[in-house]
Amino acid sequence: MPISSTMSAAKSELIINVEGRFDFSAHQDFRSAYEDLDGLPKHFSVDMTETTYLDSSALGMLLLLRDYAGGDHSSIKIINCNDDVRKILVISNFGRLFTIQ
Amino acid sequence: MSANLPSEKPISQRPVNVCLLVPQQSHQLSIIHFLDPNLYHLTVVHSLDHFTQSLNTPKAERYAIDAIDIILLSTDLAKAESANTVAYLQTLIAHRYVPIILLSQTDVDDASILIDAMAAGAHDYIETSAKPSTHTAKLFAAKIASQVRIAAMQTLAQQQNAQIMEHHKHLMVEQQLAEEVFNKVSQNNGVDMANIRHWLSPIAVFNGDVLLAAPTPSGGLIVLLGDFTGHGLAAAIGAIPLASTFYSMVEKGFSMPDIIKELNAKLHAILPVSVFCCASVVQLNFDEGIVDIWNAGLPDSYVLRKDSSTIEAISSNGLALGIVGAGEYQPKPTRFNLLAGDRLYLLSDGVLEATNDKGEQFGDERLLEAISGQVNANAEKGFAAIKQQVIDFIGEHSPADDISLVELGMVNAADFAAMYQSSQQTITAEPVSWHFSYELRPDSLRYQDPVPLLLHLLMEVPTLRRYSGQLFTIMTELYNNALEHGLLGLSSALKQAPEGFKSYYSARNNHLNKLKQGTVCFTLDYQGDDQQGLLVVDVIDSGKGFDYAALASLTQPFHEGSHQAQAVLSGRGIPLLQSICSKIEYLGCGNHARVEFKWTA
Repeated sequence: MPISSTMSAAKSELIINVEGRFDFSAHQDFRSAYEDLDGLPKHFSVDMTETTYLDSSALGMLLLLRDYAGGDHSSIKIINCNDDVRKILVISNFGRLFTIQ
Repeated sequence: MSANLPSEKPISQRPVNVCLLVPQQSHQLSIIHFLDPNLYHLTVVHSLDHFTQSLNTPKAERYAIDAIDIILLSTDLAKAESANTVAYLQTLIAHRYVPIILLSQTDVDDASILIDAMAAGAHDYIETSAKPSTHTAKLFAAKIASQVRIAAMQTLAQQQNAQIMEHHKHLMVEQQLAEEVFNKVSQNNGVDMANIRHWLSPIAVFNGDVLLAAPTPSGGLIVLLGDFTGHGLAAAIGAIPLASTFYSMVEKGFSMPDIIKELNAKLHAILPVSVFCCASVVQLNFDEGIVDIWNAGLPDSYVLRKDSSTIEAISSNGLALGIVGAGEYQPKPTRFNLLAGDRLYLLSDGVLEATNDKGEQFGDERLLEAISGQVNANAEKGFAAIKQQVIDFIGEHSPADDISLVELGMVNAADFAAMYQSSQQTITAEPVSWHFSYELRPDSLRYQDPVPLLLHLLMEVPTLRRYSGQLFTIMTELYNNALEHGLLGLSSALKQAPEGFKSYYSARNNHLNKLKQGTVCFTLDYQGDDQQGLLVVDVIDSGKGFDYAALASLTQPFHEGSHQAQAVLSGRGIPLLQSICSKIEYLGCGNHARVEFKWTA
């Protein structure tokens, strides 16, 4: 569940890493990762390299991030998904809302 | 040195009330000097009787059992008393945490006294000697302080626990309320029809799975399986508008895509950003053996054909309900032609994720095997068999607790009518006859879209609701023609060029913004009853028209006209209109389009 994040050098992109199970227990930390910043980055990436599992509350958290980042005008990538994670994102058609790589 | 009443202050912020139970002559009385009087208020009691009596004195506060934070019990006193002192003290203390510390005499007391006392509930012992040193005094004070810390932690834990219990009680009450309201709203439940078999475990329902089914006025059936994110309350809150909108729209004869769009719009408006509802919706038309099925966010739904024993999967092809707004939501159902005996399966992920004691999941392969294995069984036995396979897989150690699985059977129309007599309630049979005129001038043409209003008007006629798609197409095509080609003078040839659409719409907006005069007038005329109806739509624009007579006749099939004619006509959506309308004609100088739309039961 641990969430960590890094900001790009130019402060234009925030990368959030989710380790382990991305479920309801990550709620607080995930929000803090993007809400406690000075200003709003233009781009976001959610890095799923270490993510083993994603459930519907994680999908909800991604929607919250998208809403915070500007909704239709947001720019969010979800990257390095393993097969299980990708499958869930495909079934949910989240590719319409996020760039999935 | 009087004891203090328990104040609001936690033990760490006020003097500690110590009760010393020690015989009169005991050297252990010397410990009085070991404790800083600013930090500790010491009360000395010489026997249990004395202790008990003092509880009943008027100045009971002095020894009020609630005020004591820690009891120091001399083993001498305990030995002298006949009763089990520790047990007795425990009963007085009851549920509060008050450490009972034995004062034991070095080289005098047998270990068994201490062991028995601690078994009875004493918390620790401190050794005292007849000749204490300052070192002894400091050690004593340190031990007492440590016990006080432990008592503080314990008390805090107890208080927090009590708060949690309170909150939990409140939550349970709210949960129950939500359930009651939801049950009332879904009362209309048509899920007990003979061609629907379902397995929804209680936890699945608690977790937000909902099954809705209702017959349509035209003798069909619409079924929805929903899976809300979030548990309990969040799901129940969403389920209420979902169910009430579903039942009222199905009853009124609205088409499946319209129902889905409205459900999405409602949930999008009401639910928080992170809550949504994955759903599968099926519309069965028994008259024609047609099934429309749509899946947004749930695992694959399945169609099982009896004669070929084949299974087809319908994958999720849309976003779940409630995520995006109305404008962006375009459900695209898949259509199947099915025969009586064919079956459909809807499921949420619970059944696929059901785990056995080896940690394996049931999965889609086993489910497909189970389903196809029952293709020749009678519907009821077949479903029970599938259910049993899942239960057997999970094993006895845990219940199948989050399962939603629905089986729908295609039957012929007569059988369905027999199953559900009252579904044959037709929509109001009263005849309808009206005429409606609507003219838009430049300001309205600039800022308003008349099509939704006109469509809404048409949807007020119950018998027209199943044709909402076609009627929408008619109104949109005619309006766009009248506005863009007729009034604004745009040519659809513009769309053919590279970047055509972009420049076309840019020109459209440009011309529209500059429009100073001109009108588009709609006239709708409808007559009908429960068996048939005729809608005549006239759209007249104040533009120059076009030379329709010079082109191929509009009654001729489109492909038989000349290329040039085809280009103009397709720019005006004629082929599309020809496929929907029973008649199309142009009048006047070509600025007047008239179409007829007919339906029969």
